[in-house]
Amino acid sequence: MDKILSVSSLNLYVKSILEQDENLRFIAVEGELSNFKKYPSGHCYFSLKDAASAIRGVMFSFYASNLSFKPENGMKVIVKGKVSLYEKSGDYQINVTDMFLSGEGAYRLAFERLKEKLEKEGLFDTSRKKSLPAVPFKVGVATSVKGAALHDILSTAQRRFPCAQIVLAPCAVQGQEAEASVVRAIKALDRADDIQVIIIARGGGSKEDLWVFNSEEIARVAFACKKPTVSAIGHEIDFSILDFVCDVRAATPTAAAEIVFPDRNSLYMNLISVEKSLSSSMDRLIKYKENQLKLAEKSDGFIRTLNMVRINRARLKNISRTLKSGINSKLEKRQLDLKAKTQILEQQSPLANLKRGYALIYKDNSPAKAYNFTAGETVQILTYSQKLECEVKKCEIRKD
Amino acid sequence: MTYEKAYERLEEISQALSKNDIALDESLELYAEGVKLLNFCNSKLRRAKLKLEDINGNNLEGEL
Repeated sequence: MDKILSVSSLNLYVKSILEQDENLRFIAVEGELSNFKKYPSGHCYFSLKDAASAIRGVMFSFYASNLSFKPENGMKVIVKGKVSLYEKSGDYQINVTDMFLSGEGAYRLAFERLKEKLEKEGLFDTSRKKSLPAVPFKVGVATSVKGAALHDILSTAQRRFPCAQIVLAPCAVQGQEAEASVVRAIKALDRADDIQVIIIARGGGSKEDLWVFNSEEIARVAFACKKPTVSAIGHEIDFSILDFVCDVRAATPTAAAEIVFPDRNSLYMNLISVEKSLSSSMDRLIKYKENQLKLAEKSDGFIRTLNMVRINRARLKNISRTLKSGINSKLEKRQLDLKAKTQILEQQSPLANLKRGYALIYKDNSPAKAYNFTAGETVQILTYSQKLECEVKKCEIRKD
Repeated sequence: MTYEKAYERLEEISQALSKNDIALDESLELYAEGVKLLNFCNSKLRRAKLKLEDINGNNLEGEL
């Protein structure tokens, strides 16, 4: 034991050794943050640990002010810096110059950043969302040919709305090619004729598998679509940037198809009820017109008119029957026929007779058919242009 | 003519025919139009099998 050292000089010596070691001067270490503390000075102190070990770390305010996120205990991070020693306590530590989130955290940060940016630009605005067509007969789907998503969409469409036409724009939905491939598919579907709505779909997968749907470029292309878009990425719990941009977000590809395709059976039911309503309205209308004519029925001259109505009504019933049995080709001819008869019918209306110079006699506001008038009573006479209040002066039985 | 437009018109016709003050002539014309629209809608829904093609118009039904 040649030399007795002071604590300070020992720490100083070890510190100089640590700081001179090339291997310890520019290092990157990954670990979990704990005991994180930021002082008013702006300096940050913390420990970095893994399952077995821990090391102290310090990030001075000059560097800490450039942090891209707010460090919290439990976060997985990668720090860059050099190894040194804090003489006052003799603890060895990392002097950190930069810190990044690693793993999940890094993804989340990038996601939040992009989400915030696009939201600010208005890409998520509800006011810019297009509404979906109620009954689309031609639907574009951007997805992988091999995936479960396509299968789910097709089987749902076949079940709900088999009269649809589906245009597939096949694309890679994971891997390096995916971004460009999805962009191409969306653009092609938006350009294609007659396609009424575009579904962008991918079946379930890991966060990394689904990551491409957080692409800024895909988001911008989807936003620029002239046609309404529906996103269906992964499962219910997976949210992608694309979900926020598309006009409708579906939880799964099956759900997307359920949203896009109407149920054919209920459309049929609607048609049947419209058909019934048309037929019964027509029946009712004819009855109503018939009743109107009945008011004038007591005059012999109008009985033929009524018969005409009955005939017309029978014809209408025939038309209804024809419609129900699906034979509609003859309908138009019958209609013309009917129209002609109707014209005759209208020519024979009481009004037409009045126009020709006949008059109607009313007693107490009822048509006076076979009425035995007596001298002195008041009757109403209706001519084409006038209503007369008359008194009967003299009654004679007709001898002819 | 789209299915939606046809159905919308059918509802209009159904409304119009529900009123008594409509002229017989007009009601017959509307009824005839309704029949045509019903045929149109029914025919649009008739196909029983999904059509599947790729973006270039090639039929894919056999491949999947």
